[in-house]
Amino acid sequence: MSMRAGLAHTMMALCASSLIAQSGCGEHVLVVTLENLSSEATGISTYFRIDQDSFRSTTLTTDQLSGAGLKFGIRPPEGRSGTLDVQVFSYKDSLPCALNKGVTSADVGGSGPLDATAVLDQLPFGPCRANDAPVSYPVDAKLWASAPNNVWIAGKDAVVLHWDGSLFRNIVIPDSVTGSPKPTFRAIRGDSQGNIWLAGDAPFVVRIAANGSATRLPIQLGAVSSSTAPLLYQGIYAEGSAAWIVGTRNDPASGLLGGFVGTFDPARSEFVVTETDKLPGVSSSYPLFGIDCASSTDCWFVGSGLILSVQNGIYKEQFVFSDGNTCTFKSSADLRAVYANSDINLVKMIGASGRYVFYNGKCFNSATQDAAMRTIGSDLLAISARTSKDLILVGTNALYRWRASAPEQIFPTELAQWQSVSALSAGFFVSAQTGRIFYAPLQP
Amino acid sequence: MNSRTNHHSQHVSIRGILYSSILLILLSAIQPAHADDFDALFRKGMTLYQKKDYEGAVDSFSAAYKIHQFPRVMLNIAQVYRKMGNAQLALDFYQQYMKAEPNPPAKIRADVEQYIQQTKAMLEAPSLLAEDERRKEPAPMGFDKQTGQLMPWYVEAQNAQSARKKKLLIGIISGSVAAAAIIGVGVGVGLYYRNKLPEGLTIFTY
Repeated sequence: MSMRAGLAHTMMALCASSLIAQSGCGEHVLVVTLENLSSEATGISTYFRIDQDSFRSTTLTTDQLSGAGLKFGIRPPEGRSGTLDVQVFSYKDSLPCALNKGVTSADVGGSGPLDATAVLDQLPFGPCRANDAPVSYPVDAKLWASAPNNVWIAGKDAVVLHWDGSLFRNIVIPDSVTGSPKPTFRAIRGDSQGNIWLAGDAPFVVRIAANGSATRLPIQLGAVSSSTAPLLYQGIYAEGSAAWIVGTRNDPASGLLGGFVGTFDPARSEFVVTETDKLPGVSSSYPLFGIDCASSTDCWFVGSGLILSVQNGIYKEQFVFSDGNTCTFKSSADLRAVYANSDINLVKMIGASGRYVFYNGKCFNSATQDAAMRTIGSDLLAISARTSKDLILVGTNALYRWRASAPEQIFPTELAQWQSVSALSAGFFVSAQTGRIFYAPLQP
Repeated sequence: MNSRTNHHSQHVSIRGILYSSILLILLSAIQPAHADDFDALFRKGMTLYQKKDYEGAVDSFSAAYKIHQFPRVMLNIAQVYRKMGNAQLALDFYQQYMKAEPNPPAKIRADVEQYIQQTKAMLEAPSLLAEDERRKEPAPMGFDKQTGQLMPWYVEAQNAQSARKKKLLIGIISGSVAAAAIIGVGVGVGLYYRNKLPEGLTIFTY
């Protein structure tokens, strides 16, 4: 035992007795000293717990550390003993890409202050792997981000994770909302009011308000074919009082059958879904996976062999014309995602086997070769617009940036089944099927 | 106790022979002299006594005694020896005085008897040579064996010892309190600075 430790134990023993005034023993606080803190760090995240408790988390800025010489304190609950484990991360620019990471621990339960030092590892800022914090990262993660400090991730078992610019927090949705077993969320989208909308393999949508409260919004079946197979919802869009979902019937015996479009009834706080062939002017019913809207009344829905658009309540079945010129030969396309725009020339779609669809001024046409004239080949699964003319496409082992006539490949630091993407002005977030979250900056 | 008594008796007998011899020598040296010389020597002895030159005083009184064998000269010699701390010689001269002056004034008789008791008590006190034995035995109680009364010298010694003990106790207590206060303040200051949380420390509550 070192002299310092011996002194500490002596002091603790003295403080534990009644011979010396407790005021002289100081508060029972674990004082954590940070070593090797990156000079670039602007924010510190700490996750701490006693023994097997769930992690508590909190943040502080580097300015808050300066007054105490790179130290901060954690006050254990009175009378609680055990090992207080502390994990520390440093970040910059509100991005969930750790610059530093360190751990330390101390036995609490005595009296007086305790000291612990967290020696921080230097982590490379890029590539950004955001999954270092000790929270639950969902498998089959889908994400949506409006800014570097507002990233939402959802997936299996109704796990929802939020990055607020300094901390990852698991958003716990009550069982009364999720039901049991908990659904897998397959679609996530935020609106400008701060609500987060989640849909998946359950007959309801979950809306998390800006204040964190979660509401269960039932999905009622409207005009649909007779079947007891459950519906699977993989796309959602919401803005203002309008919200849309798309899905398909998940038949265990036959697979995915039929396409469904649901609209939100704010007066009844519920969705009503209609099978696409029951919609006026639409004769087909094929599985739908993707949805995007240019406005609450201008939406696009894409799926296996089906493209639908709706403007001001008028549905229209769209077609990919394989000749691209005369627009007379229609072909099917297995599409998974769409970028909507009020200008049809800017509407883009992607799908299986590296297919991307665009409007060529005459009709929708498709291609599978990238800007380097290489066949993409991989399934493209998600699309997000940095601007109307700067899109990010992701898929199985595939990352592309689509700014001109053909997508340009982005060479990732690792391969993955990227299954959702959210582009921001300075970069984009992607989620892998395994639940890993990445961020990549983009040049203008 | 027996060893002490035997030892003491042996000392007394030796001293008795020694001082008897001294007295015989003094008496044998007595020669006729003038009265003026006696007065001068006696006054000189008194002056030296008052100046606490006890050895000079003994010499002067002894010289005066050679001129005139007045008992009060013996008494003065006894007094000087007592002042010098020579209890045995003082006792011998007191006793010689009482034999030479069987009817002294009452006040003088009382004083002499008291002095005799004191010098006897002093002689009964352990000598330095017997220090080792003395330390093994109970401290003398200071009671007169004849009367059972506490002897004045013992009372004074006890009072002085009590005073010393009291001062010592006060000193110890004061020192202890001061030391405790210093240690307490030191420990308190040490604890305070050791346990003082850094200024501006941000603390999170679990």
